[in-house]
Amino acid sequence: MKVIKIISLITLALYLNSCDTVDNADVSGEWLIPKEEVFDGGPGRDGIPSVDNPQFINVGGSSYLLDNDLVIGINIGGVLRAYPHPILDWHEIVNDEINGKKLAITYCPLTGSAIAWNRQGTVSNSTFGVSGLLYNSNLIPFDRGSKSNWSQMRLQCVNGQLIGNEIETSKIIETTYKTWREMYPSSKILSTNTGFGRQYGNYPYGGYRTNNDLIFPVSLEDNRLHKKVRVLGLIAGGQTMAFVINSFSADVSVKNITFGGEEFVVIGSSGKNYAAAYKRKLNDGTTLEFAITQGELPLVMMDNEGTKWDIFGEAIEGPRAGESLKQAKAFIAYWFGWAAFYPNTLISQ
Amino acid sequence: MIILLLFIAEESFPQACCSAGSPLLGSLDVSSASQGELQIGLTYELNSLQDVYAGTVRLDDDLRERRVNSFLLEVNYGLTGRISLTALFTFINQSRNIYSLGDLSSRLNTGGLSDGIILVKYNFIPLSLIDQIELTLGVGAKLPIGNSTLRSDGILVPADMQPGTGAWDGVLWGYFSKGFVPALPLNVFLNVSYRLNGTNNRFGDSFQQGYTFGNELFVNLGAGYRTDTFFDFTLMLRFRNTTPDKFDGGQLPNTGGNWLYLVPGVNGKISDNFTARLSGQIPLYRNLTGTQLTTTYSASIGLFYSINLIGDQY
Repeated sequence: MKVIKIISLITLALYLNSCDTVDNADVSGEWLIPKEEVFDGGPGRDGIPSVDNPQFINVGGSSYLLDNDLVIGINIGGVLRAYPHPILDWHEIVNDEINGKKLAITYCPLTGSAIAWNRQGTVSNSTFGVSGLLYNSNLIPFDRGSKSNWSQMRLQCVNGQLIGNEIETSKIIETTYKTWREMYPSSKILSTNTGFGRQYGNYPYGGYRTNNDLIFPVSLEDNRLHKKVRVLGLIAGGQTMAFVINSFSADVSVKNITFGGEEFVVIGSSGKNYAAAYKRKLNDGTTLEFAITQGELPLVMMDNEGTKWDIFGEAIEGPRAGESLKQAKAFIAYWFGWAAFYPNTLISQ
Repeated sequence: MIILLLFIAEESFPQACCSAGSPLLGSLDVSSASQGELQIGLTYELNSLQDVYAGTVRLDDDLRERRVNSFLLEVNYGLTGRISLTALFTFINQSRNIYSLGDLSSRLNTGGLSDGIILVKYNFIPLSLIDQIELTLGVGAKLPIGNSTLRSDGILVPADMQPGTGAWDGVLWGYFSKGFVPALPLNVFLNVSYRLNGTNNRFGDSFQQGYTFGNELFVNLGAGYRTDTFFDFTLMLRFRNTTPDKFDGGQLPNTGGNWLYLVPGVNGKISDNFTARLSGQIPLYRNLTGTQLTTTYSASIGLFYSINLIGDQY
């Protein structure tokens, strides 16, 4: 019986030492979003590694990409680069520098949202990493300078030293690899030589991007649309509007709208799977009216003065050649994610 | 006495949750206590997870490391000659370390009392000296006594880092063995166990969306070899299958899969009723759904004591 007593004592000692404990230094401090709705996605901070030394190849050189795979295209001073979703599905952030402009290409595979962040707003223009935390299933990047946590779709620092700071963004175009390649055959595309061993041809989330399931709870579910419908969300004057990409015509559609007290032009194509929004009012006070131009990609629209504009809102031909349309506060996301962040969003018909 | 003391946990790799579940099912002892016999086992187990697999392919990745330390206390008591009760309780401490550019970027440690299992076993074919066949079947439940809503500074810890699962599960268990003494000091055995998992409410009442770990099947096929020395040996093939976890009824990516392990073990008979056991687990084959961090190796050491309380009493 002595042995039983010994084992009982050991067990008692284990029990007394088994009070629930947790030790994690990543998430302390005040949050601007409900902390009880922030979830640890599982991988942990930097468990999904950002690409910090991106290598690029000619756009036609990606043998693993399918024509319909989506890419995030950017145009900084004429330097055109594409970042494929199949790489960002595994890394979520690419820290890049183009023509001296420091960028973080952020992409959340769970909310399908891609936004190019300007890193100038962070401490020492620092790079961003994946915190492993999610709010409304959406990526929470952290900046490596201050370890502050930022909400991607809220475009704001929500925890840490820089809490409350808003992030500036750059224009991007998400479209299919085929469309991008046809529009910009001389552009560069992110190489799979990322420094990490990943299966970039394999989508890591199974049937997630097409089914109606979520992986984490969101604060609000809006069932007016299928959860994974891709929409271009527009924010203006405290209001939000969503444009369903599949509702645009197969070639290209242009919508001249007034929303939230501002004038916008919204372009999109269901066939080529892109959508973008720009401000129609120029610095000189002129408000332009746009119509489509067909079969001239990357030119997609012509204004009432005869200037042709490309998909990035750059005037290419005509009297205003060289001018740019201002970026609207807009980005593409899965409907459920957009609706969770921006309740009462109008859906454009 | 052949004792199986193993612990399995897996962690999904991309942004999703987990396929860990409670480390209980693979830890159940296969022995049945005779009437009045009390068996107590105390085991320490280390499970190291460093391998990242996508399907059957091991990825070149050394960013993450998981370590799970668990202490398992199992008590068997023979109510009658055929019916015995088993209770298994665990105490767990685990860490998740993430490395970036060689430096530690993030660490999460959790610990506490984990879930338990209560099992009723019925010995359909008691072991006899003549045919040396034994068949025991059991049914029971996994008790959600471990914390499944542990928070770190207010933020819910991932499901696979929680000490408990937060759900009641059903457990089915079976054991068959055949001995060959005196021709060979050997017995072969088959042990099958299945856990049908319930749903927890880890995200709280405001969401009302449950999380369900995947159902889990273990099939252990092995042999025990007795020697005239201090040591006996066991060697076992272990197959494990888990179905994908579910959130709000929908299957989660990067959870579930199939594993095959080689499990060698050595028992040291300290006295007539006192045994020590050293065991390891070596992965032979893994086919995981999506991409997951999975066991690189595990090792355990245990002490087991048995006493017949009726015999002591009289």
